[in-house]
Amino acid sequence: MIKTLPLSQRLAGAQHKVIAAALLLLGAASACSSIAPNLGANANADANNTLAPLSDQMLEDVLSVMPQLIEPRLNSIQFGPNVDELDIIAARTLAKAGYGIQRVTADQGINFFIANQFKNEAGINTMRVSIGELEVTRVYATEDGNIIPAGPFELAGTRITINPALSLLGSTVSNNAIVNNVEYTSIAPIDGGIPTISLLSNDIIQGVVDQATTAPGLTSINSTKLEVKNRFYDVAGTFSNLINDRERVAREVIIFPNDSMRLGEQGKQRINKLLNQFSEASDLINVIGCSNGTTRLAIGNEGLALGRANRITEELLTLGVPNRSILDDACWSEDSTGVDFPNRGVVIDLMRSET
Amino acid sequence: MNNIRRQIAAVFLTMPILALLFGCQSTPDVEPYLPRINSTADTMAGMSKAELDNLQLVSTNLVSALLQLRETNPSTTTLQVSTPGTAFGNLMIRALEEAGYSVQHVSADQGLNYVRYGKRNSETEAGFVVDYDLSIGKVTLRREYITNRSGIFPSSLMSIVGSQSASTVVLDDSIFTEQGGNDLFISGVETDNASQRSEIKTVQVKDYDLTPDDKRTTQQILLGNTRKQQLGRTVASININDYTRMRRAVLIFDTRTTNIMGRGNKRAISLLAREYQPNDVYSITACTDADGEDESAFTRAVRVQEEFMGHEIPSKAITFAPCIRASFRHTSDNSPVPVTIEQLRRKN
Repeated sequence: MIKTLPLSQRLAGAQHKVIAAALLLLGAASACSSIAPNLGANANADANNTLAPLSDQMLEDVLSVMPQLIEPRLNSIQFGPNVDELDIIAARTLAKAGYGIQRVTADQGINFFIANQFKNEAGINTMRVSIGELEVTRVYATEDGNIIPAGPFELAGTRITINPALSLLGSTVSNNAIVNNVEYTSIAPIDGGIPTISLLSNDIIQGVVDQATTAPGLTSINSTKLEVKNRFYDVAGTFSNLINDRERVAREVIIFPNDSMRLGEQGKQRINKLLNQFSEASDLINVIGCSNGTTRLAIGNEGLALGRANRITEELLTLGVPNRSILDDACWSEDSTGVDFPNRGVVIDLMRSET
Repeated sequence: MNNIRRQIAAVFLTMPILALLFGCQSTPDVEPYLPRINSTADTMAGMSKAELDNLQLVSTNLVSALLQLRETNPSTTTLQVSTPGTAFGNLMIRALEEAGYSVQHVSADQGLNYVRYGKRNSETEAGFVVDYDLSIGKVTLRREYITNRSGIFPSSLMSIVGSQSASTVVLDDSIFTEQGGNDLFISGVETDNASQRSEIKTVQVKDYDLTPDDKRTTQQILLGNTRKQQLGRTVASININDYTRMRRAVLIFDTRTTNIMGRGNKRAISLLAREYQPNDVYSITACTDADGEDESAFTRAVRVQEEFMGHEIPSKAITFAPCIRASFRHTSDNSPVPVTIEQLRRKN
């Protein structure tokens, strides 16, 4: 059954339709005349990623120290395809500073950019920027509606000295020595770990066949998941190609207690002493963890040697030494005679390239 | 009734005024044509979508050739650009960004790889043609184009001057044929070096080549594919018997379709690259399919190659190993996939 409306109502309906049509046309006209901001192809990929107020200032403050860490004119920063608002601000800021900006389709490049804004365990606003294996983090507070730094710059993956007073918000905390400061730390752990990199050379394969099963292993995996040769048998070591043309400019030997991996205060001081001479641009640090002689531990000499080297590597990373600068090596045997290395210690050599 | 008529008349009288005020008809969304940084949208004011599309085809055509030249490889070349003052400039910089070049913004004409470009109108025996060029360092690319009812088409060979690898450039002119029409154009490269020759062909465009807008090859896809193919072509071809195997790592990609490598895999490559010696070769096995044809595996291999090149490892130090049949994978299987890398050292 079809209902028929009275004429007045039908006319009123027509009137509304005409006005609605006019409004639609008006809306379309005004919408298509605007020029969309150029936020990139996937700028709104994550609509829920809303920024905290003044996060742009936090980001710009962190980015303002980048030229002290990475030379702008000689370096490019890579941005992935799914850019968010922080990426857009960062790309503009870094381009203005003179960096090359490279748009990549995935996570290509040694200077791949990631910015994260979050609240730390204490609930304080934190900005962290990663560029490749370098990380800069700082916490911020709000005072009278303005953002001000609430902690020092935390640098990870580098030992380069920076002047925090030259940062964008440096002047706001110039009278606060604790905040206007730099601390070195290690970069965040890698989710899922690093793939193991094994050795394949023929002498290793032949050696494995020749060795009795009870003898010390010829190789093992170090802290960076790289297979290394046992320096008890191979005096030159796994990294000889990398250090042969370098000069040893310093050596520290850290002795560990029997069956222990505890570094101790004295050990930490020795590492700091060595790092005072470390130059990121020219140096590699060769860490040789050793355990020779009898041990009561189930992990054996191999575990102890690698564990000790790992403990030193960990300490170096915590103090900001880049991972690429550390060569983590080891020697182990049940026989403690005729070994060039300490029986229960770690030798740390600072190897400098003349070039 | 009169009241309604009056309202209808008023609305329709207002329309032209509104249209004039908002200039709706000729203002397309210009975002896809603009560089991501330092764009000048005002240079596109009054231009139609068709005009912008034509300029985009030209810039894509020139940049797809540029990225194949050894001297201007995007993996190793940082370009310097000024803020564009024309619509063509905006489109050119956008194309360079899409091709994967690192772009540095400079205030004047600083830098070894400063980008220069131009557009000139010419009256020739063939009628009105427009001549577009792009120069970076000593390399200059130039081509003439003609506009007709169907769109824009090349009307000359692409001239490449100042490059030692111009003859290796493969032009993908399919972006022009997709416009349809009834036309004929010449495709190929002419160089300033008589010893460099490239294939020259005639391309016939037919009405049935006309492709709907949403099905056409986008700039991003064309430049991405060209770059991928180019990277794949530059890898070394080696005799494995001349080398000793040194190290091996197996990277895991989260899915069959992803190109994201992740921090762990990136760290592994960085450690492998740290031990690089001149004459070393990294052999990449990405393909584990039985039939030896796997586009996504090739993409992963190129991704690993790019990562090595980021560590300044030359492309001649990288080789793609043939497919090995590791296990059966259904085409819909999107579980993690391995990519094996072996570091090989040349025997003395």
